[in-house]
Amino acid sequence: MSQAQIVRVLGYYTDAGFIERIVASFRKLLIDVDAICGRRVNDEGLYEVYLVVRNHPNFYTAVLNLSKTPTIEKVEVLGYHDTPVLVDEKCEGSEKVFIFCVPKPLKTWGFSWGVVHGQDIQR
Amino acid sequence: MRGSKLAVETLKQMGLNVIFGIPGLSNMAFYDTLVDYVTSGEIRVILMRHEQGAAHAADGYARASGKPAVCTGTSGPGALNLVTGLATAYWDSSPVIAITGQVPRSSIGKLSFQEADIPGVVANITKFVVQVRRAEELPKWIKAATYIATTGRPGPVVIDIPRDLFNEDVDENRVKWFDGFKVEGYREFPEIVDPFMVKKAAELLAEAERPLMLVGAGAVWSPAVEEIITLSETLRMPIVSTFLGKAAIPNDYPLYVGMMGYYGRAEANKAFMDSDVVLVVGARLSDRTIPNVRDVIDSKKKLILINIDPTDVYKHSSYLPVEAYIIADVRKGLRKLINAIAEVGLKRDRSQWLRRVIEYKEYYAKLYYRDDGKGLKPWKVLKTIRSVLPRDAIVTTGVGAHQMWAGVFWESYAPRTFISSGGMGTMGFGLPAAIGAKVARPDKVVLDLDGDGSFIMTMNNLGTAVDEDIPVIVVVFDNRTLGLVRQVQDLFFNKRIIAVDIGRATDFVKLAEGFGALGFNTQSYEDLEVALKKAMKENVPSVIRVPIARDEKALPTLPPGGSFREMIVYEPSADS
Repeated sequence: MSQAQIVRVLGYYTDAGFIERIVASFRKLLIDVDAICGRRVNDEGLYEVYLVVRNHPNFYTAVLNLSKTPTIEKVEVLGYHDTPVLVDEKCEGSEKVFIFCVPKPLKTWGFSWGVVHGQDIQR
Repeated sequence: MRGSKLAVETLKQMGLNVIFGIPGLSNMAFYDTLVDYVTSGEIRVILMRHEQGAAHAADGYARASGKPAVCTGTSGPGALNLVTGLATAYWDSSPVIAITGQVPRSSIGKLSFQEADIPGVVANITKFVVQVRRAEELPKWIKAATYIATTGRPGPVVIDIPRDLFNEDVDENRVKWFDGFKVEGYREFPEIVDPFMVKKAAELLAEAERPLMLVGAGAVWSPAVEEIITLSETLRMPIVSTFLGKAAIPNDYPLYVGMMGYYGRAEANKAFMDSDVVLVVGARLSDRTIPNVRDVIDSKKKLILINIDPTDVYKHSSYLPVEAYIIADVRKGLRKLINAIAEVGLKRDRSQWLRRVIEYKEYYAKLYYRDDGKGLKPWKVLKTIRSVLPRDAIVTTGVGAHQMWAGVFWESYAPRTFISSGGMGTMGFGLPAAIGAKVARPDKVVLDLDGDGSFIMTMNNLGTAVDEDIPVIVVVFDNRTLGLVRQVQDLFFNKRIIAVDIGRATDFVKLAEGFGALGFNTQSYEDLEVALKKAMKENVPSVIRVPIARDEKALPTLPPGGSFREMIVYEPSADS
């Protein structure tokens, strides 16, 4: 079993508390966050945030709780054969842009306000 | 239009016309605008004696009426004092709207006078918090907050407003009031009613040998008295409740067994243990209701859930034997199930099961209702109060032993008539919640069942009840100790009693009189009856002190982390 999970969170930014809310959903359930990156997706304030979080028995609860947090549109758990957790720090491509790459998942489970997309990770 | 006027006008338009709170530097302009609305009678402003009381009062108002209520405090300490009340409302899913003043935008983050990062403080103990940055957005966020507070699983929201926004002039043409506003990233929960699941649930219940219905607070908020009783009658299915679910059905309904859980009635816990299929209606199955999940798993029972919150259902399904579920408001879900059961039909004779439950009730009654003649007994005190109060009286409680006695022995007859801090267990909840409930329902008798330790934490709000002519009655179970903690020390910490006993000096009658309320000291059940009748007749805030022996236990109980199989129903040493 992988040591970590990669989570993609889509939500609407009101203030920087938006990011705190995401991280707190894991912190409250004793889950450690190894890496985080995110960006604004459109002019309506939609953001996507990626997190690498350590595996934990509370992971499912954290995802469900986050998926019903005001301003959070959707939470996706990205599935891999062996979850990549190394973060490439080189990023020598450009002096003018931030670069972040998320390895392509084999499958995705989505959670949004009680609606589960794809096979539920607990079933 | 000034920002403060925008804010108050929005509150009025949203029907939020009662505000519990305390003014200070950072909500001063807000209060200044309220002067006109109070003068015209459009909004009522109630000065509490501490902001914790303001949050509890708004909570009590919301739980008694089903409508949201507002509390407010100034920046820094004022807003920080709201925190316990907001957490209390969050844990019990109550729609409280807090408007907190904040230091001006130019001062934020500079350790300014009375500055506190309220969004940071409350983010994880409320349903939602927003710090407004532009005055023209005040209507938008007040509306959004109210919508978020009252939909889905209700909960408290906080609107933090830098005080310079209150003073800002806003071009009215730039203000978008309410038309078409959508809260991005917020949705009400979907209804998920799968006909296959409904049929499966109906068949499971129809074929069960020992079915049981467990009702929780969701059944109070819905409410669904008629549907619960119809289903119980149809299936001949006994009912137990969570602590906060007590008021979901009349407690004198013959098939109601009582509150189950950590301090629940033994017969309710036994019925739960013996049941083979449990229909869980609007309950989140907290560790207070089911302290040990082995009790569910080992007894091989099957659960059917009706819940408005799908994530609760998914969570429970991951570790409990959930066989079917309906995701909907309790009333709607029950109606679907009733229709399905009408098609399936009752397939089992339940007379043996019902007889067993009745035998449990009769057996444990002999253990509960003891009176050795030494002092006043909690069960008899509650029975006396019940006999005097009208059926539709609203009761709030503090937190402690008296609260557990109320859970076991108090009889509620209608939704929204039993109001207590269940999830957070906040001492001091009772009196301010009673004040809020009485403001919401002035036509009802409102009584706070309190303990001495709990009452003393927020009793300063008695002054509010007197000044504002809010005639609540407080009955103080005065055992001069933090009884529930003392009990745990006594039973599970080798009788090493520490830091719980309260001295004899505090005089509750004089304290009541000092605030301008009526004070009564009782020594007998007859005294209590007379005092209650007088308090109701005089219709003024009143405090009735009832002496209770310090070693009177709140039973049944369990050892910490224990199972229902380890219930302690009575003290072996207790005199019968």
